[in-house]
Amino acid sequence: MSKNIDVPKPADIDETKVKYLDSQPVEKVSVLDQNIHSPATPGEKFFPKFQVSPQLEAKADERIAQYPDDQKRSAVLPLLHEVQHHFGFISPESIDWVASKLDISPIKVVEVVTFYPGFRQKAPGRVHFRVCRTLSCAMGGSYELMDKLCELTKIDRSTADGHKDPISVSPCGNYSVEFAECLASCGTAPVCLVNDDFHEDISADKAAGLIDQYKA
Amino acid sequence: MSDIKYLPGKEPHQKEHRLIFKNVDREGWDTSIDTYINDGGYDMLKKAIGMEPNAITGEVKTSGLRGRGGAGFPTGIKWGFIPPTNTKPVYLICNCDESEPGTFKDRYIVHQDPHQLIEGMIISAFAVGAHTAYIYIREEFPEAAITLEKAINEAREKNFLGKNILDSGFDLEIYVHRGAAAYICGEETGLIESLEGKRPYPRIKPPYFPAAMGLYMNPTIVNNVESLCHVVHILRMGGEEYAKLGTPRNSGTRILCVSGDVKNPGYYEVQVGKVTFRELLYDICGGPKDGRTLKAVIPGGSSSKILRCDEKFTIGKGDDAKELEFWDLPLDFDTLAAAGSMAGSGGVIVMDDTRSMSWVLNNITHFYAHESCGQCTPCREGSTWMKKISDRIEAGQATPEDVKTLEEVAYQIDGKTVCAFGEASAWPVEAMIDKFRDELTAQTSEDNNFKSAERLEQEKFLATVQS
Repeated sequence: MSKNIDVPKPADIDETKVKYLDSQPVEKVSVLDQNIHSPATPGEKFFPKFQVSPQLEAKADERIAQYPDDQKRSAVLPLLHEVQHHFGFISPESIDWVASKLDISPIKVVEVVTFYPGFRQKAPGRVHFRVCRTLSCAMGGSYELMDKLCELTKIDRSTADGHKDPISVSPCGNYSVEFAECLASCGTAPVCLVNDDFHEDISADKAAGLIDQYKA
Repeated sequence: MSDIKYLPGKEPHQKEHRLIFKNVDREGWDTSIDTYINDGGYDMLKKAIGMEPNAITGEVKTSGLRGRGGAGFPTGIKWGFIPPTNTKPVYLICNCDESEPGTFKDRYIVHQDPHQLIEGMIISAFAVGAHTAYIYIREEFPEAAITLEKAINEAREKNFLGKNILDSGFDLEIYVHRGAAAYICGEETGLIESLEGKRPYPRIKPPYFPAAMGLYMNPTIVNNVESLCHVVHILRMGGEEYAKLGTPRNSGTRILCVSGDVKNPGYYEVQVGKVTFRELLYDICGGPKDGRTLKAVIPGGSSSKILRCDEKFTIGKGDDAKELEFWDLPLDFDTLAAAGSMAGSGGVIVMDDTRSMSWVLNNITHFYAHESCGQCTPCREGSTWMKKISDRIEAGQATPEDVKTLEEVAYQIDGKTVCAFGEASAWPVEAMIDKFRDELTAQTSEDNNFKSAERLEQEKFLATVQS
């Protein structure tokens, strides 16, 4: 029944293109390079480049001390929060630093970063809007709020993907938006988080006023 | 102690009975320890450290307090599960991952009254013998994390925390641990994995009951914020007196969070089982918006099964059985369970006649597809599958057969996963189809022939290989 399928016959294989482990050194591909999704965004210019300062070290040590001595791995979330708070997002270099700080392999940090929606691997805008998408807020008009925010900040959300790439950044880099799941304030829907500030009852007609509060 | 006055426009409804929310929206109230102490705060801690730890657990058992996080498991009994022969360190974890859609009670406690939670935690830690406690707070409460850390430092300065608390010989440290926006961390074993710095894949029970094998494989008690706050009031009132609040087997007060299509959505602390849906939604919340009628209610967070407002239920068994209209159901754990749903976390979501049920279903399936941790196949694949089918129904591209498939998928997840997320994602779908099948089917058509992108690719490929 099948016809047009080309199955390579052994004779067709070009021996020169086959890599053998013992004959040629295999190029070392870092786990991080393959798994880190961090395209540059216009928002990057608003965040300092990752670097380890004495203050960061001290903050990290303080967090690590909150867990038993043999359970340093517990501090992976707190350390990533420190990094994201100061540098805007989790870069590959910061993952290496967190891993070395906790004496664990980088993959154990990567698996955490890629799981939790709270950690982002690309720079958001200077002002990051997280609009609640879940039932009560959706009934209260959060989709309309999102549309309005995008319209006012010229953000194109068409390529956003809730799982893999939830953040959309404006061309100027000042603003970014993301849909969040239930922010636990359903009685005052629709709600959103702007950076670390929480705003209630933000119907679409209040979007312009909200953006104004964060003008540089 | 001064008379309690509330902010203008924020007075509790007369049907409310405030214990936990006593200080929420209170005039002149702030989060400082002095304000709390001036109001009699930390007096119960002083009483507790003079008691035998077992006596405190005994009071909590007598009070009949049932966990306010969702499952409604008796708190005192949970504490009693720590093996009596245990020699390992015991941990107490406060679950402040409040992320069940429709629930917004813990938010106000941690933002406005952090010391009540801390006092409850110290007493509870003393009762279970924990010397380290963590508050696992969701990442979306950044301000509350700061408020709590400040409150912990204040308490430490007064020697309510730290070494040799108030000369009792009891040591305790509380730390705040921030999550990172994952719903599954509200599941206690997922929370523990997350606290250990891993992906929050829930552990299977048995054998991993946290009270025996929890954080770092040590005995661990995980309690909801509201449950831990109740401990303070149980100690103040005495277990027996506390148990007189509410109804038998459903004692105390609980905070109901009402959202959606009512005039006055908000948080209302009432005696458990003393308020019916009619009283809650009409008397307290002001009824539906003008010109509308109420259609359906999700009674305990989005995972609980939806109830139709025109339904009738048979509650009780044998001679005690009685038929109740939806409106006359009291909101307690047992009645709602008998009505086929659950009291869950107290998140009441109300929908009126303008809401399309396929749209509601679609919103809910999107949530669960996003939040499934991916550990168990039925849930990982099923939640996404349910989302895709509900997308199709909502878009008018589905066939009546799709509704049946959706129902089958839901029942294939239910009961086949490590944690209760499987049920949480399947129940709303099962109930929605069970109760609004006609409405959903009306949006489908036999003529539809929806083909996914994968299906189109497949057909293209098959056409090339078939002769």
